[in-house]
Amino acid sequence: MLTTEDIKGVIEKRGSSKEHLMFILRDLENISGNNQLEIDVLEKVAEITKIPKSTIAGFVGFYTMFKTNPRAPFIIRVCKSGPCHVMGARTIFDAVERNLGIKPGEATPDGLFYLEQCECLGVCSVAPAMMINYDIHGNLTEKKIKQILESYKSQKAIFGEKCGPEVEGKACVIDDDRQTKRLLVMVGKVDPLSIDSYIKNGGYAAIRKAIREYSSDDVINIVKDSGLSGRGGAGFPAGLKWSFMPKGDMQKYVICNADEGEPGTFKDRVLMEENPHLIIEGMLLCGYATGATVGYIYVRGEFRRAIERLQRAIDQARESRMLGKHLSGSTFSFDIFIKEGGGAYVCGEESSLMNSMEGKRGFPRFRPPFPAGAGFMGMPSNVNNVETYASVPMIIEHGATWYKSLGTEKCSGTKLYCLSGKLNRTGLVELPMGTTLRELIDIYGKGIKDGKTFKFAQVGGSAGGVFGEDLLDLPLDIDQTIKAGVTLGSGVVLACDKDTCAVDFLLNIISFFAHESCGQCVPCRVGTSQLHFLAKKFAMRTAVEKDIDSMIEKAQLMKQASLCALGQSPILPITTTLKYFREEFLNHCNTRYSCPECDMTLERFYR
Amino acid sequence: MNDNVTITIDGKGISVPKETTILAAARALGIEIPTLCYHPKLLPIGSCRLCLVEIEGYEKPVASCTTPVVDAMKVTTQSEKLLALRKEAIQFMLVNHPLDCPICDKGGECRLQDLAFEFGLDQEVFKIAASPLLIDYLSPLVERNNNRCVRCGRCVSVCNEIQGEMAIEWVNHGYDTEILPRGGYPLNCEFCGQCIAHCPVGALLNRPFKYKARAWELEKIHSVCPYCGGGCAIELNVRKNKVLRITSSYEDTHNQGNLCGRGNFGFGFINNNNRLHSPLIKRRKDQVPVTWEDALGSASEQLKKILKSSGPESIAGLGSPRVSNEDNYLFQKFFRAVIGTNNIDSSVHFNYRNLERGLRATLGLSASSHGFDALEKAQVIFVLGADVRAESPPAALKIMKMARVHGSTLVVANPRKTKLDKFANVHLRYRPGTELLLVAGILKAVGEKNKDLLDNIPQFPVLKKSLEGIILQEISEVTGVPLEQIYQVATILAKRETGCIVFGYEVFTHQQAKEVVVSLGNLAFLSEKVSQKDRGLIPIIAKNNVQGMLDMGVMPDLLPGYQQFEKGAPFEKVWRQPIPKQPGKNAEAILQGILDGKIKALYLMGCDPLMEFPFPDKWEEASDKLEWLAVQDIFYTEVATKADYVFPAVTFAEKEGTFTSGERRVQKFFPGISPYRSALPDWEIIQRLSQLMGYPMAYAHPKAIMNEITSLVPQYNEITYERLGRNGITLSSTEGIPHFTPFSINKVAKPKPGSFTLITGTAFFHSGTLSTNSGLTVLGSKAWVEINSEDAGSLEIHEGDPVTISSAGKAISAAAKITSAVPRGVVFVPNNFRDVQVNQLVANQNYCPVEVTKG
Repeated sequence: MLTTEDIKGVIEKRGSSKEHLMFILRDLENISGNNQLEIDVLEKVAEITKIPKSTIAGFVGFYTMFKTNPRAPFIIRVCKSGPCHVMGARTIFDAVERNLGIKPGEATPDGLFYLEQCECLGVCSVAPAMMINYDIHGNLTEKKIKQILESYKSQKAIFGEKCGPEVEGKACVIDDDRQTKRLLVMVGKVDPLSIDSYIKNGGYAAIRKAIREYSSDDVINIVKDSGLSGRGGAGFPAGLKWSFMPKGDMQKYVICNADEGEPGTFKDRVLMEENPHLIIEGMLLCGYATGATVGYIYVRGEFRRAIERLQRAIDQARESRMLGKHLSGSTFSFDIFIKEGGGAYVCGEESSLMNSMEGKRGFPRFRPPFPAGAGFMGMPSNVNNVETYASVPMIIEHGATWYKSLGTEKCSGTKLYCLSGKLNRTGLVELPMGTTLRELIDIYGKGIKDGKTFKFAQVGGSAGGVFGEDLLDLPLDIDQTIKAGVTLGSGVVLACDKDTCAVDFLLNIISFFAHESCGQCVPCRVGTSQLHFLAKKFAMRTAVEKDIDSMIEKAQLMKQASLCALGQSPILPITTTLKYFREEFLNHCNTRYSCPECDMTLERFYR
Repeated sequence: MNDNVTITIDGKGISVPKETTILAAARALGIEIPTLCYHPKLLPIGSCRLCLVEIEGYEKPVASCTTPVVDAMKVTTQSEKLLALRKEAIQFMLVNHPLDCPICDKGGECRLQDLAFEFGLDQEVFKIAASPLLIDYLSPLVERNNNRCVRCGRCVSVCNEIQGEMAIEWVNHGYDTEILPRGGYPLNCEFCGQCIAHCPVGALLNRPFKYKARAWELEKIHSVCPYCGGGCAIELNVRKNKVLRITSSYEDTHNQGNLCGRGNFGFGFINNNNRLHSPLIKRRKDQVPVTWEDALGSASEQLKKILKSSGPESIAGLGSPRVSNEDNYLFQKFFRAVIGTNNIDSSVHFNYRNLERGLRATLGLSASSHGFDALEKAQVIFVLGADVRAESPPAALKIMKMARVHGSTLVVANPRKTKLDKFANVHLRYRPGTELLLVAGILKAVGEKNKDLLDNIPQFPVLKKSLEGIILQEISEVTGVPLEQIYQVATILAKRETGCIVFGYEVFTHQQAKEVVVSLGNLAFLSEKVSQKDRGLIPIIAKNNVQGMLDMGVMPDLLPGYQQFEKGAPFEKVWRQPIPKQPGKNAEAILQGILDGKIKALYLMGCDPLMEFPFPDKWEEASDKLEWLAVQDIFYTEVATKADYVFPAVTFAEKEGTFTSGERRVQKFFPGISPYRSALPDWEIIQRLSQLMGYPMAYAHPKAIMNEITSLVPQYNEITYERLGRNGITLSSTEGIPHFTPFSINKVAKPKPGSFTLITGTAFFHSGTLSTNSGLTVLGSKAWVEINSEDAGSLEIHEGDPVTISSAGKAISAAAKITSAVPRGVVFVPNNFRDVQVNQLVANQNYCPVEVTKG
């Protein structure tokens, strides 16, 4: 049990206002000894911070990383999201269970380990993966799990970032010279722990150049000219978004969305871990262009290494006067702070993200007002993805024309594609916008694993669609995927071979949405659960044909009626899966139809 | 610049202000869009998605409750697609809904039921495997059944936005999302009941009302809440001659349907079986039930004898701020016209009586300068000496809203922490009894800061003189308020923004109450001059008809409408009796008169000096000395045990009449049920007694009394009984011209270090006889002592320990409540509790030096 002094100490360090609640609770959970936020502790926090008890209870109940029940010094979180699922997460659970003799939601008799399921950990190229406290381990096998668990038994619980070498950012980048590296050019070359290394490699030249040569409007215009579109998934033109920020002296914010939670995505993690200063520089440029003086990077709570490296980079940048007041002798002042997530996919939605930053439940806000009108703390805010900000310094340095020299007509520049699943080679590749799926799979993925045949690929993450062979030659940029009725999303390419069951795959996606719905609006809260129920019926082979239409119908209504993008998402995976595999779904309507994949899932998650 | 935009909804054009939502614009056009989570007084929630509309050029439908109009927008509210979406949303809400409508209290007034009916959804098409949620049977007054909850979030919004209570919150996510207090504990809040009133389904239930009636069986009778001076418009929900529930509707009430815990749950006294049901006469030692004829016959005979033998000055009466204007008017008429004395007063003598004196002296007002609506415009609000939430919850709601939602600057000055402190930009914690010094200090500071401006105001020297002896450093030392804070408040009050000065119980019970009101009047006038913006001066009145009772002349020194005795001719004409020209005895003098044997008869209407007045032991002695003591009340009060005659009166729910609220809103209330057994309305008892005393009185109806009032009381000239609509009429109180008024300040000594001061005030759930006899006692029926945690530590007092507080040989004892709400050296005990009579100690103030001991 934590003492009042412990609690006071944490609150003093983090600050008592509501926006620091995530930090306060995380610190308290970490020092609790068994990863628990006891009710008494929460009441004490409420008393000291004057945040209402119900508000704190609602906050803790929203974020999946927090628990009020006792756990253990080590929490093992095994990922069950798409890429890990395809790569055998179900057997990983079995292995962990066999090893420790516990089921999810249980602690080992020696009180050392506690097992949980979790969604995407952002290391999809080394799937299947698990996280022990904040240490992420990939490429799991039964043997490896045994070794890993053994190594923890003699350790004291720490909350660092001792990830396995396979998780290392640069190790996740595919080593292939045919790439057109712009964002990744420094990855592996620059020392992420040293600002000097970044500067030596030409870092912070762009912001210096901007301050020296450009007005804020110039910067916006260059970004506009470059055709840079948002890399988070929606693909909104970045320069145009920046131009929506009102002029004037009010407090404005630059927010970097680093809540990389779309299953299959790990590009932002690599950038943050390997080149944090690039993101800082991109945000500085945005601040300079929009008149914002404060930046926030909202990093998902699971990305401990990214958080620590970014924090170190921020500290160094402050020391080197790249952050702070009157930068480069100009009138421009800018500083950056980190905010952490708590394990909620919906917080990647920009308005949920801002609520979460304010220390609230990550409920999305309705629009208007848009962030540029009333964002974080009600003030004008510009929210972009990590990859978007990271693209800005090179645009300022080399110009819009240079940037546009790669990519397609409507979508310029390069894109980070995240390859995962049944490929001979997985990892991150940087290629011009508009690279085809065939190229990605055959050249960079070296073809389907073990010589098996391609069945489909999921492009764009859970909210993206399923691509069959007919779309192998579709240029993967924002514009052309939309025209084809699918989406590039965050750049996920999850390849699946013939062993993959489409029903089982869809059930996995839908269960993800049902789990991650924030519960605020009726269509999504109930709709995702209803879709989950229907998808499960197919897996159980108790469905009837009209359940197919039922699923489509519900998802379509959800797309129309839901408050935010989450509830609007399930329609795409459903319709695209059914487009190719309707037959397979019909087969699953027969109780005698044999499907080991579905059986395994049912046995694992629906017993 | 024209900020209007023109849009088309279903082919009809309308021009509306820019910020208007599509829903509001549609409603203005008379186009009905179904809603569930939307409530016009709450910020849009957007969770139910029923109000979706299509807009030309938009890819997807939008929620009309959250989307503001844009010029030239073309909106469609009805289409096949929208119908399907709405049906689906309702269908979704019906998923796992228990469909226990036959035993659901909400049946008949349930939005989900209505919607399912309207859309013809006759099947529950789908269930989600989920275990039933726990029903909260443990919270007092509120039952929460989340199985019926549709997660619309209205309860959370009303609790946060309107009440500022934050007692409930969304918990979990996905399908498991629930709304829970403190993550699932029973409620521990102010039990306003607002969540119940705003729940569209049967998830939040009114426990006292559960299984009492179906919604359609209830008759709703317009009435006015009988608790505080806020005068909220309510509806008595009546079935079979019983008031089963109180409601208030948003659409037609000035309080926007908001009620507090007392309003919602404090009506149990009406149907209470302990009510007085028959007149009583004391025969030898016992009081025996008799008929009205016997009771009034005997009472009048005996009173006539005393009148004959000892003269009118040997008779006195005490009225009540709880009964209607008509009752109070007749009561004073009885004394002035029937008996021939001005010996009439009330408990208000010890507090609110000074309000009018102070206001008239400075601002030329006879009541509050503005209505509560001024609070809703105020960008600067200064609250002095009031626990507004306890004394008048509706005013607190308005202040909180301004501070929280509209960003007004709120300054709260109080000797102890109140709920408003939480929302204040500045809070001043001054020592008990130093209100006048503090205001004088602020006046001085405003003067100092605006010297150049003020020297141009010819009248200012008058005030300047009063402030001459003031040294701010000294004020700071005696009040305990840092000098910077005094200057800070002075600066805030000088801001060029509209503002209000709000004050309450601590001011009215001040030793120099009138002087404090005068100083506040000066402050309002001065800050109005400096800021060149409107300044409202708004008293917070804790009892419902204080203003009305004073307006009706229940006081020894003035006639109804605060008219001097010399100007009593119109009264004499209407009453056909000469009126005594000498002021009568006030409450204190009446007590002394009884003790001296000069007053032999006392008529009490709706008041109990043994409970409500200072010096209760003296009153006890006095009541034994009286030759004739008549007590007219709804309950058998302490003083009734000593009465020669007990007259059972009816509650507000059984009669018709008017109340005048603290903002001087005159409102009419109607009987919902027939009188309890033999009980009669106060006015009728007085009328019958008058007749037996030989004075003709024949009012057929309270209306007739009000007609007489409007003809004689100038402030009420503008109303007629018929014209008083649902929300009554708010009367102006301006009677003179504001001017600076000198005032004097008594010296206040700094308390010795280590000594204790006791302060008292209103408890939120308890305000006297009414609440004692209502369901509110489930929230606690015993008084307590609030003591600072450090003081408690040094006295080794733990939570719940008995604590004795003594002063001048008298002592009270109650359980300790350890808190940071009172500063060191101060203890707080709520007043009006039967078990702990704090008025024994504090006498006619609200504080006194005491000794505090454990045990």
